[in-house]
Amino acid sequence: MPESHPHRGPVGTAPPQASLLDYITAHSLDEDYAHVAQQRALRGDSERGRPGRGAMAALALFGAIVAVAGVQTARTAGVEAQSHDNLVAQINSGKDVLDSSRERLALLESELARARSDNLEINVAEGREQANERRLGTVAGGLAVRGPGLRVVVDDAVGADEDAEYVLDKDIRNIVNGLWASGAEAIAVNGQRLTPLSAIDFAGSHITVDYETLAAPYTVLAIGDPNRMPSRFVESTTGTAWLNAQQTFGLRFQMDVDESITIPGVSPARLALRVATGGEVEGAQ
Amino acid sequence: MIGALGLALGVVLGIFLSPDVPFWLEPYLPIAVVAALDAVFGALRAFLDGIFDDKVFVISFVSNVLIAALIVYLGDQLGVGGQLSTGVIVVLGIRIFSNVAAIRRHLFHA
Repeated sequence: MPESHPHRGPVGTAPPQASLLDYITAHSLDEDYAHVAQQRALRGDSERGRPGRGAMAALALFGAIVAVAGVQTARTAGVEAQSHDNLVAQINSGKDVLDSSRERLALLESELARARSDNLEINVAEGREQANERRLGTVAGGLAVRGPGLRVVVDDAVGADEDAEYVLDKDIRNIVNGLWASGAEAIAVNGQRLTPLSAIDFAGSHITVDYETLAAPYTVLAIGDPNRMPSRFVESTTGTAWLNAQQTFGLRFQMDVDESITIPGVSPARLALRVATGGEVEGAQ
Repeated sequence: MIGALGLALGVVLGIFLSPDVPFWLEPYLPIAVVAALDAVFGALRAFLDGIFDDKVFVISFVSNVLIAALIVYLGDQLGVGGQLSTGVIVVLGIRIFSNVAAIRRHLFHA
C-alpha cells in the first residue's frame, strides 16, 4: 500500500480499516500522476505537464475504439433484429402448421368416429346375415342340426308276402309329411337329410331317398317339439293315412321321444342353384 | 486543444474506416471502452489537478485496456467471463464516477 504518497486525491486519507468501496473511491486517480508530479517538483521543474502527441494518440485510439464499438453494436443490432424477425416468422408459420394439423386431426377423428359407427353397423348387419344364413341353412338342410324330437322306426309286417305288407315309398312319404305337418323342423330318413330338393321314390323293390337306396327297418328322425308332435302327427291327414295302413297291414311302427337328435346336413353341392336366381324377383309376391 | 482534436480524429477514423471487428475480439470491445473511459477521465482529472503527464496517461490507458481485456479473456477460459466482466465494470465504474465527481468540483468550484 503506497501510504507514503503525499497526493492521494482530494477525498483524503482513507481510514485504516476502509472498505473496498472506500479504497476504490479514494484511489480513483492513478497514483502515478501524483508520483511523477512529486518527482518533477523535487527536480525543481515547475513546468506543468501538457498533453502531447502521446495523449493525442491515446485519445485518438479511444475515439476509434468507441466509434468501432458503436458501429459494431448498431450492425449487430440489425442482425439481431433480423434474426428476431426470422424467429417470429418461424414461430408464426409453426403455429399455422400446428393449427392446420389440429384441424386435420379433428377431421380425421370425426372420420374415424364415423368409420367406427359404420363398422359397428356392418358388424351388426353381418351378425344378422350370419344368423339368417344359419337359419336358412338349417331349414334348407345344408347345416347339421341338433335338438329334441321324435325317433320313428317302421318296418315291414312280420312274414310279409303282399306288396301292401311291405313299407312302401308312399308310407314313408305319409310319415314324413305327417311329421312336417306336426311341426318338424328337420327330418332324416336312415341318415338321409330331407331338403327342399329331396325326392322319396321307389326303385325296383327298394325305397330311395335322393336316389340313395334304403333298407328296412327305416328310421325317421324328426327334430321338433317332442311334446306336441306325436298328437299333431296323429291328427294330421297323412299321419292318419299311415296309421290306417299300418294297422290294416300289420306294419311295424314305433315312435319314441329322443331328447337329443343330431341330423347331418347335405353337402352344399346338393343345394347349389345353377339356373334359378334368388332374392328380389320382379313381379314375385 | 490537442486532446479534443485527437478524440475527434479517432471518432472520425473509426466511423469512416469502420473495420470489421473479428468475432473473437467482440466480447472485449465493451470492456475496453470502459477501461479506456476510466483512463481518459483520470487524465482529465489529473490535468485539472495540474499533475497531468503525457507518459503516465499513455501507459495507464494502454495498461487499463490490456488488463481489462486480459481479465475477461481469463474469465472466458475459466468459464466465469460474465462474472469477471461484471467485477471489472463495477470497479472501473466507481472510479469513473468518483473521477467525474472530482472534475465537476474543479469545473464548478463546488
